[in-house]
Amino acid sequence: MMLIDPHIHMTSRTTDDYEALQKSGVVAIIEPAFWLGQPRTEIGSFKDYFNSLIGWERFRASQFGIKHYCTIGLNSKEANNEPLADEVMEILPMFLCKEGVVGIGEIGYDDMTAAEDKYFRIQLEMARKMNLVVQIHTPHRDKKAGTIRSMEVCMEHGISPSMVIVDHNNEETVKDVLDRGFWAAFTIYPSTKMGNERMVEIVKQYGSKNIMINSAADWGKSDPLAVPKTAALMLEKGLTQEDVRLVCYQNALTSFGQSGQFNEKDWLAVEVDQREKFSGNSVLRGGQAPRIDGASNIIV
Amino acid sequence: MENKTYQADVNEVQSFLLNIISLQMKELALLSFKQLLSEISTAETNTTFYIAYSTVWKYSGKEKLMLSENDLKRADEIRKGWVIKDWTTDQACRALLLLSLSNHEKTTFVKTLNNLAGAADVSELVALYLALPLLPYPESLCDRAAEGVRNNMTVVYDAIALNNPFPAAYLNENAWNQLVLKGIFNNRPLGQIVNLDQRANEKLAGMISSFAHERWAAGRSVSAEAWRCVAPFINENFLSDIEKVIEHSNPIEQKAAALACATSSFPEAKKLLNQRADLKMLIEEKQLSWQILSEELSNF
Repeated sequence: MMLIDPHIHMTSRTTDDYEALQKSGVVAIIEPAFWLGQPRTEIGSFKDYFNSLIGWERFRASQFGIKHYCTIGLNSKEANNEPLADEVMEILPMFLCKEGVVGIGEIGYDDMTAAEDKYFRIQLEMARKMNLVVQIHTPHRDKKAGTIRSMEVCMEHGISPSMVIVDHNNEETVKDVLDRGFWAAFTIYPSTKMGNERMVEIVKQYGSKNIMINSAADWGKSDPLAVPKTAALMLEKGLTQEDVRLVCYQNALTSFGQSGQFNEKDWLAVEVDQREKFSGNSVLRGGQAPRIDGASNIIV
Repeated sequence: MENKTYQADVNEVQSFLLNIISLQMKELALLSFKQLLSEISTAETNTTFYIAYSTVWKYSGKEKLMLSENDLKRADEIRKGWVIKDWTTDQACRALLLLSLSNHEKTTFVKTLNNLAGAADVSELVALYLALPLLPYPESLCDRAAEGVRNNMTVVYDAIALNNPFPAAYLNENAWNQLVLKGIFNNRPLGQIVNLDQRANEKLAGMISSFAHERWAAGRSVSAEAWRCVAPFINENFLSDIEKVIEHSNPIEQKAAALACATSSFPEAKKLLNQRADLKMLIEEKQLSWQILSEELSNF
């Protein structure tokens, strides 16, 4: 089974992770621009980071037969440094028009300050004008209110819910997001976000339409194999192949594919290259179950 | 008036490339692209240029250029050593965009190229380095070329180092030697480096020999083509390397050593070759040359 992780910060990960992703069936990933754990103080740091997302990281992924895409944006935490945020707004359009930049993200609220609101709206305007998909980070604290407000602000700016992926959902937010016609993404991230047994229950309850999962693996204690592990767990717990395909592949492809830059043929072609590049390694084909080495597929 | 150097007649290159892409681009797209080129050549600022350079692939497509034998010959006439056979439509369009800046003064032109490279994705960098042999002010582009060699993305290295006449024509000895050494280090097909033999030098031969010693000490192999650059300088110091290579279990290595001996005028090298009558005969009958060896290695 081919899988997509539509939110993973590979800049913070090792080549072992790339290898493991490739082995377990992940064919394409999306790396949203985010904060690096340490706030940046200069515009050059943003520029070089964006450059690495469209350059070095893309190349690094290609060496492992994985297609790397990204979303570019100013994250909510760093929106609070207004002078710097203004400079970031100036350089963003230059990166948003690059090949393989499938949307603007991850943007949204953290503390829900006025500054966060200001740059969220500026970036939504850019998305509307450039017809870009929006990847929304919902806050850790006061999540439900923040999620609803993010969606309302999108509507205010005339952005169609079908162009917006609302990320980091949980049991409390999912209904509001789906009812409003937005894409609902879930981050399987140990201890702080979703566990994958809970995820199975959500798909059982809400179905697989407009729902996708990701790992958001980064520099924290996270799991880059969250998507393949959850796919395996879903099958184990009796969800259908089709449900798993939608949640772990197709919905990410359909939603981000609206950018016109995220096409299945990009990685179907890679598979051929990969056989040349990694001669002797097996490559997963359609219909095969994801294979994960290790004792348990459960992430709590 | 400053003195302006060209590597090729800009008008000739432009009409040649336009002619080729006109066979592959849709009429409307071509028309608006031509319009864009003329706008850029007279524009006060470079904003349009940067955006066009990033987004051109959306309407140019990324197909391989359809080229006749005559086109390939014509390219070499326009710019000696220009190998266009693997170029794609977006690369041709990006070269045209770069050429539309050729009326700029030197400092402005170089600055624009540096800005472009400072926020370029992988394909944009590749296209920039492919176009290097066609651009004005070549002596001011050496740092840019050296930077292309310094980077670690294989595709970018290949764009500047392989089938590209710029480095041999303009890089100083130090930068040239780094280019060749990096090619050997990364196992690139050295036979595709333009004027490899003409730029051979004793310092490079010494560097290759010492690199080989390091590799052998670690139980690793050395690209057989590397000896091509050592061959003209074989003396008592390098002879022991060649003796070792000619006894290697891999027949390709043996062939490389034989070719090195045949190239050399050092009497001991001639003697060594006489001990391998089989390989000597292949060389004399033109069934073995550096070119043939290079092709054999690429197909390996």
